[in-house]
Amino acid sequence: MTMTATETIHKQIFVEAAPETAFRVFTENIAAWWPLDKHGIYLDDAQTVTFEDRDGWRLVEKAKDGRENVWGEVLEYEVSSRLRMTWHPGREADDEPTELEVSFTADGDGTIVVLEHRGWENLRDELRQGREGYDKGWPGVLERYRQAAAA
Amino acid sequence: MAYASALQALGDPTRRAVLEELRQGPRAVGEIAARLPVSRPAVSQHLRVLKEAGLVTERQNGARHLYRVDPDGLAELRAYLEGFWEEALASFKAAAEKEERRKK
Repeated sequence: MTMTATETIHKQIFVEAAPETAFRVFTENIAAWWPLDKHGIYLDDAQTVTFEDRDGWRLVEKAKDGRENVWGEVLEYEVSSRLRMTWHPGREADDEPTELEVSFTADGDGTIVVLEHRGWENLRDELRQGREGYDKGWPGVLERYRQAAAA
Repeated sequence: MAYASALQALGDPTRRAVLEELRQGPRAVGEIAARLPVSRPAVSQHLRVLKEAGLVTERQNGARHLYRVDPDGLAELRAYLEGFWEEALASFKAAAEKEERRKK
């Protein structure tokens, strides 16, 4: 019953900004908000992370010394609406990547942003077990999220 | 990334097949090699990577080294990813709202 749901990480937030703004900040200004000091390949040596058009859009992390790591390739996108890409930070693109999809939907004066990180189905049962274990922690996580959103 | 080694380990289809074998129960290297089209040294190598990634544990049982899945490793990976996206999205929300206010 919950098998399918357990295979995808699903996050949703409401942003007080128009879909155009939300999409632009997510893509063009990713360096402005991505916590690169904590989440990246180069961490303290990181310089920036940016979408670049290199035979198709790629998300590239760059280190101060010039090293680069391609986190993923954009598979399809619709401006102000959605973005679907491969996701493989720290790995080669020809490894079987996971997939990230982000959608931006107008809601009143703001935008509902839904993020899905999937492609875990190959891991089958171990992963489901891991996920189910984590599901037990969901109420706490959601409560923290609610508090953060209300702040 | 703290979870990079686990993701990297699982990016390889043969390593996933090895992990899948271990899901059936604890196995020795030879038992895994007998069931997959992979040599013993290659299986050992894959097990070493899985072990370093925290996904598999090794235990000596008499003369045999048995490998088993470490469910904590996978749970940790998932939990890490969940927290990771929450943090990234919270930061994104703040940046997008700041940009929207700037426009007005």
